Amino acid sequence: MASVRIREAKGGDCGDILRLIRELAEFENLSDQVKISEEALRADGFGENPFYHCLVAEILPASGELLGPCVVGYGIYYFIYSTWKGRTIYLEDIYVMPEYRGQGIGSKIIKKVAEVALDKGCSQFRLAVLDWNQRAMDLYKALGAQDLTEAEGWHFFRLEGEAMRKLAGK
Amino acid sequence: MASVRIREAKGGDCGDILRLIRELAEFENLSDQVKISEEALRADGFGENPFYHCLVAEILPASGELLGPCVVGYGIYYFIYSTWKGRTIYLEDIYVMPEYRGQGIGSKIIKKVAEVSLDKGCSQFR
Repeated sequence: MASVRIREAKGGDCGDILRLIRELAEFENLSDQVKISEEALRADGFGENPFYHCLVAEILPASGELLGPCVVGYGIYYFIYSTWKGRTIYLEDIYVMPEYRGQGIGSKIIKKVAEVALDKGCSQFRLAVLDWNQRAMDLYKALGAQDLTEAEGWHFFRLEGEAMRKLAGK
Repeated sequence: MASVRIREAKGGDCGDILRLIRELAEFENLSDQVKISEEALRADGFGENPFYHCLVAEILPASGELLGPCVVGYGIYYFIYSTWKGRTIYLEDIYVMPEYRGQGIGSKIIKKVAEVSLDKGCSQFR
Protein backbone atom coordinates (compact mmCIF):
# COMPACT_ATOMS: atom_id res chain seq x y z
CA MET A 1 0.00 0.00 0.00
CA ALA A 2 1.30 3.41 -0.97
CA SER A 3 2.25 5.88 1.74
CA VAL A 4 2.41 9.70 1.82
CA ARG A 5 5.47 11.75 2.69
CA ILE A 6 5.57 15.51 3.26
CA ARG A 7 9.00 16.89 2.41
CA GLU A 8 10.72 20.16 1.52
CA ALA A 9 10.57 20.86 -2.21
CA LYS A 10 13.75 20.94 -4.31
CA GLY A 11 14.49 22.93 -7.46
CA GLY A 12 13.71 19.86 -9.53
CA ASP A 13 10.11 19.83 -8.21
CA CYS A 14 9.25 23.11 -9.95
CA GLY A 15 7.60 21.38 -12.91
CA ASP A 16 5.25 19.53 -10.55
CA ILE A 17 4.72 22.63 -8.41
CA LEU A 18 3.68 24.70 -11.45
CA ARG A 19 1.33 21.92 -12.55
CA LEU A 20 -0.34 22.00 -9.13
CA ILE A 21 -0.38 25.84 -9.01
CA ARG A 22 -2.34 25.74 -12.29
CA GLU A 23 -4.71 23.09 -10.94
CA LEU A 24 -5.36 25.22 -7.84
CA ALA A 25 -6.06 28.32 -9.97
CA GLU A 26 -8.42 26.21 -12.13
CA PHE A 27 -10.21 25.02 -8.96
CA GLU A 28 -10.52 28.68 -7.85
CA ASN A 29 -11.93 29.67 -11.29
CA LEU A 30 -9.02 32.08 -11.76
CA SER A 31 -6.80 30.19 -14.25
CA ASP A 32 -6.23 33.23 -16.44
CA GLN A 33 -4.30 34.85 -13.61
CA VAL A 34 -1.40 32.38 -13.64
CA LYS A 35 1.43 34.15 -15.42
CA ILE A 36 4.40 32.68 -13.61
CA SER A 37 7.03 30.48 -15.29
CA GLU A 38 8.90 27.42 -14.01
CA GLU A 39 12.15 29.42 -14.30
CA ALA A 40 10.86 32.24 -12.09
CA LEU A 41 9.58 29.73 -9.52
CA ARG A 42 13.00 28.09 -9.43
CA ALA A 43 14.98 31.33 -9.26
CA ASP A 44 12.72 32.88 -6.62
CA GLY A 45 12.36 29.80 -4.41
CA PHE A 46 15.69 28.01 -4.62
CA GLY A 47 18.31 30.75 -4.77
CA GLU A 48 20.26 32.42 -2.01
CA ASN A 49 17.47 34.53 -0.50
CA PRO A 50 14.28 32.68 -1.38
CA PHE A 51 11.02 34.63 -1.59
CA TYR A 52 9.07 31.55 -0.51
CA HIS A 53 9.37 28.04 0.89
CA CYS A 54 7.58 24.97 -0.41
CA LEU A 55 6.51 21.61 0.97
CA VAL A 56 5.33 18.83 -1.33
CA ALA A 57 3.20 15.79 -0.56
CA GLU A 58 4.56 12.74 -2.28
CA ILE A 59 2.94 9.34 -2.74
CA LEU A 60 5.61 6.68 -2.28
CA PRO A 61 4.68 3.53 -4.14
CA ALA A 62 4.49 0.23 -2.24
CA SER A 63 7.43 -2.12 -2.80
CA GLY A 64 7.08 -3.97 -6.06
CA GLU A 65 5.33 -1.11 -7.82
CA LEU A 66 7.17 0.22 -10.82
CA LEU A 67 6.21 3.90 -10.75
CA GLY A 68 8.42 6.38 -8.85
CA PRO A 69 7.11 8.78 -6.18
CA CYS A 70 4.45 11.18 -7.36
CA VAL A 71 3.85 14.74 -6.13
CA VAL A 72 0.13 15.07 -5.34
CA GLY A 73 -0.04 18.19 -3.21
CA TYR A 74 1.92 21.23 -2.08
CA GLY A 75 2.01 24.12 0.33
CA ILE A 76 3.83 27.40 -0.25
CA TYR A 77 4.61 29.68 2.67
CA TYR A 78 6.82 32.63 3.61
CA PHE A 79 7.67 34.76 6.62
CA ILE A 80 5.95 38.08 7.22
CA TYR A 81 5.56 40.50 10.13
CA SER A 82 2.76 41.57 12.41
CA THR A 83 3.49 44.93 14.03
CA TRP A 84 1.34 43.76 16.96
CA LYS A 85 2.74 40.28 17.54
CA GLY A 86 5.99 40.05 15.57
CA ARG A 87 7.22 37.22 13.34
CA THR A 88 4.43 35.51 11.44
CA ILE A 89 4.14 32.74 8.84
CA TYR A 90 1.84 33.04 5.84
CA LEU A 91 0.50 30.04 3.92
CA GLU A 92 0.07 31.37 0.38
CA ASP A 93 -1.09 28.14 -1.28
CA ILE A 94 -2.28 24.74 -0.09
CA TYR A 95 -3.57 22.19 -2.58
CA VAL A 96 -4.10 18.44 -2.87
CA MET A 97 -5.16 16.75 -6.12
CA PRO A 98 -8.87 15.74 -5.98
CA GLU A 99 -8.22 12.00 -6.12
CA TYR A 100 -5.97 12.23 -3.04
CA ARG A 101 -8.26 14.30 -0.82
CA GLY A 102 -9.99 12.99 2.28
CA GLN A 103 -6.83 11.28 3.58
CA GLY A 104 -5.57 14.13 5.74
CA ILE A 105 -2.78 15.19 3.36
CA GLY A 106 -3.81 18.86 3.46
CA SER A 107 -3.89 18.79 7.27
CA LYS A 108 -0.43 17.16 7.33
CA ILE A 109 0.99 19.98 5.19
CA ILE A 110 -0.65 22.67 7.34
CA LYS A 111 0.60 21.03 10.56
CA LYS A 112 4.12 20.93 9.13
CA VAL A 113 3.93 24.65 8.37
CA ALA A 114 2.72 25.32 11.94
CA GLU A 115 5.73 23.35 13.22
CA VAL A 116 8.10 25.42 11.08
CA ALA A 117 6.38 28.60 12.29
CA LEU A 118 7.01 27.80 15.94
CA ASP A 119 10.60 26.64 15.28
CA LYS A 120 11.28 30.03 13.67
CA GLY A 121 9.79 32.03 16.55
CA CYS A 122 6.52 32.97 14.85
CA SER A 123 3.50 33.74 16.97
CA GLN A 124 0.94 33.91 14.17
CA PHE A 125 -0.02 31.80 11.16
CA ARG A 126 -2.13 33.54 8.48
CA LEU A 127 -3.78 32.46 5.27
CA ALA A 128 -6.53 33.60 2.90
CA VAL A 129 -9.39 31.60 1.39
CA LEU A 130 -12.12 32.35 -1.13
CA ASP A 131 -15.52 33.04 0.40
CA TRP A 132 -17.26 30.18 -1.46
CA ASN A 133 -14.68 27.54 -0.47
CA GLN A 134 -16.69 26.22 2.46
CA ARG A 135 -14.80 22.93 2.69
CA ALA A 136 -11.47 24.74 3.12
CA MET A 137 -12.95 27.23 5.61
CA ASP A 138 -14.38 24.35 7.64
CA LEU A 139 -10.97 22.66 7.68
CA TYR A 140 -9.14 25.81 8.80
CA LYS A 141 -11.68 26.48 11.55
CA ALA A 142 -11.43 22.84 12.69
CA LEU A 143 -7.65 23.32 12.86
CA GLY A 144 -8.14 26.35 15.11
CA ALA A 145 -8.06 29.30 12.71
CA GLN A 146 -10.23 32.39 13.16
CA ASP A 147 -11.96 34.19 10.28
CA LEU A 148 -10.64 37.78 10.56
CA THR A 149 -13.10 39.19 8.04
CA GLU A 150 -15.91 37.96 10.32
CA ALA A 151 -14.20 38.76 13.61
CA GLU A 152 -12.53 42.11 12.82
CA GLY A 153 -13.84 43.26 9.43
CA TRP A 154 -10.61 43.18 7.38
CA HIS A 155 -10.76 43.42 3.58
CA PHE A 156 -7.94 42.40 1.28
CA PHE A 157 -6.79 44.84 -1.44
CA ARG A 158 -4.46 44.43 -4.40
CA LEU A 159 -2.74 46.70 -6.95
CA GLU A 160 -1.02 45.45 -10.06
CA GLY A 161 -0.05 46.34 -13.62
CA GLU A 162 -0.89 49.83 -14.84
CA ALA A 163 -2.39 50.95 -11.50
CA MET A 164 0.84 50.05 -9.72
CA ARG A 165 3.07 51.77 -12.28
CA LYS A 166 0.92 54.90 -12.16
CA LEU A 167 1.11 54.97 -8.37
CA ALA A 168 4.89 54.63 -8.45
CA GLY A 169 5.06 57.39 -11.05
CA LYS A 170 6.72 55.13 -13.63
CA MET B 1 7.26 76.62 7.04
CA ALA B 2 7.84 73.01 7.98
CA SER B 3 8.32 70.40 5.26
CA VAL B 4 7.76 66.63 5.17
CA ARG B 5 10.36 64.03 4.28
CA ILE B 6 9.74 60.31 3.72
CA ARG B 7 12.85 58.31 4.57
CA GLU B 8 13.92 54.79 5.49
CA ALA B 9 13.63 54.13 9.20
CA LYS B 10 16.73 53.47 11.32
CA GLY B 11 17.07 51.38 14.48
CA GLY B 12 16.85 54.53 16.55
CA ASP B 13 13.33 55.23 15.22
CA CYS B 14 11.86 52.18 16.96
CA GLY B 15 10.56 54.19 19.90
CA ASP B 16 8.60 56.44 17.52
CA ILE B 17 7.50 53.49 15.37
CA LEU B 18 6.09 51.67 18.40
CA ARG B 19 4.28 54.83 19.50
CA LEU B 20 2.64 55.06 16.07
CA ILE B 21 1.87 51.30 15.95
CA ARG B 22 -0.04 51.76 19.21
CA GLU B 23 -1.88 54.82 17.84
CA LEU B 24 -2.90 52.83 14.73
CA ALA B 25 -4.17 49.92 16.84
CA GLU B 26 -6.13 52.44 18.96
CA PHE B 27 -7.63 53.91 15.78
CA GLU B 28 -8.60 50.38 14.67
CA ASN B 29 -10.21 49.69 18.09
CA LEU B 30 -7.82 46.77 18.56
CA SER B 31 -5.33 48.22 21.10
CA ASP B 32 -5.34 45.18 23.32
CA GLN B 33 -3.68 43.18 20.55
CA VAL B 34 -0.38 45.08 20.60
CA LYS B 35 2.07 42.81 22.39
CA ILE B 36 5.28 43.70 20.58
CA SER B 37 8.26 45.38 22.28
CA GLU B 38 10.68 48.03 21.00
CA GLU B 39 13.51 45.46 21.32
CA ALA B 40 11.72 42.93 19.09
CA LEU B 41 10.96 45.62 16.52
CA ARG B 42 14.61 46.62 16.45
CA ALA B 43 15.96 43.05 16.28
CA ASP B 44 13.46 41.94 13.63
CA GLY B 45 13.70 45.02 11.42
CA PHE B 46 17.30 46.15 11.65
CA GLY B 47 19.36 42.98 11.81
CA GLU B 48 20.98 40.97 9.04
CA ASN B 49 17.85 39.41 7.53
CA PRO B 50 15.05 41.82 8.40
CA PHE B 51 11.49 40.52 8.60
CA TYR B 52 10.15 43.90 7.50
CA HIS B 53 11.10 47.31 6.10
CA CYS B 54 9.90 50.65 7.40
CA LEU B 55 9.50 54.16 6.00
CA VAL B 56 8.87 57.10 8.31
CA ALA B 57 7.35 60.49 7.54
CA GLU B 58 9.27 63.22 9.27
CA ILE B 59 8.33 66.87 9.74
CA LEU B 60 11.46 68.98 9.28
CA PRO B 61 11.13 72.26 11.15
CA ALA B 62 11.62 75.54 9.29
CA SER B 63 14.93 77.27 9.88
CA GLY B 64 14.94 79.17 13.15
CA GLU B 65 12.66 76.67 14.89
CA LEU B 66 14.19 75.00 17.92
CA LEU B 67 12.51 71.57 17.80
CA GLY B 68 14.23 68.77 15.87
CA PRO B 69 12.54 66.62 13.18
CA CYS B 70 9.47 64.76 14.35
CA VAL B 71 8.18 61.40 13.11
CA VAL B 72 4.46 61.77 12.32
CA GLY B 73 3.70 58.75 10.18
CA TYR B 74 5.05 55.39 9.04
CA GLY B 75 4.60 52.52 6.63
CA ILE B 76 5.77 48.97 7.23
CA TYR B 77 6.13 46.57 4.30
CA TYR B 78 7.76 43.25 3.38
CA PHE B 79 8.25 41.02 0.36
CA ILE B 80 5.94 38.07 -0.22
CA TYR B 81 5.17 35.76 -3.14
CA SER B 82 2.24 35.24 -5.46
CA THR B 83 2.35 31.81 -7.08
CA TRP B 84 0.49 33.36 -10.02
CA LYS B 85 2.52 36.52 -10.58
CA GLY B 86 5.72 36.14 -8.58
CA ARG B 87 7.41 38.70 -6.36
CA THR B 88 4.95 40.87 -4.48
CA ILE B 89 5.14 43.62 -1.88
CA TYR B 90 2.80 43.76 1.11
CA LEU B 91 2.00 46.94 3.02
CA GLU B 92 1.31 45.74 6.56
CA ASP B 93 0.78 49.15 8.21
CA ILE B 94 0.26 52.72 7.01
CA TYR B 95 -0.52 55.49 9.49
CA VAL B 96 -0.33 59.26 9.81
CA MET B 97 -1.06 61.13 13.05
CA PRO B 98 -4.50 62.84 12.89
CA GLU B 99 -3.14 66.39 13.05
CA TYR B 100 -0.95 65.73 9.98
CA ARG B 101 -3.59 64.16 7.75
CA GLY B 102 -5.01 65.79 4.64
CA GLN B 103 -1.58 66.85 3.34
CA GLY B 104 -0.90 63.78 1.20
CA ILE B 105 1.62 62.23 3.61
CA GLY B 106 -0.10 58.81 3.52
CA SER B 107 -0.17 58.89 -0.28
CA LYS B 108 3.55 59.82 -0.36
CA ILE B 109 4.39 56.78 1.78
CA ILE B 110 2.26 54.46 -0.38
CA LYS B 111 3.80 55.83 -3.59
CA LYS B 112 7.27 55.26 -2.16
CA VAL B 113 6.37 51.64 -1.39
CA ALA B 114 5.05 51.22 -4.97
CA GLU B 115 8.38 52.63 -6.25
CA VAL B 116 10.39 50.19 -4.11
CA SER B 117 8.23 47.31 -5.28
CA LEU B 118 8.88 48.02 -8.97
CA ASP B 119 12.60 48.51 -8.32
CA LYS B 120 12.69 45.07 -6.69
CA GLY B 121 10.89 43.36 -9.55
CA CYS B 122 7.50 43.00 -7.88
CA SER B 123 4.39 42.81 -10.02
CA GLN B 124 1.81 43.07 -7.24
CA PHE B 125 1.21 45.31 -4.26
CA ARG B 126 -1.15 43.94 -1.57
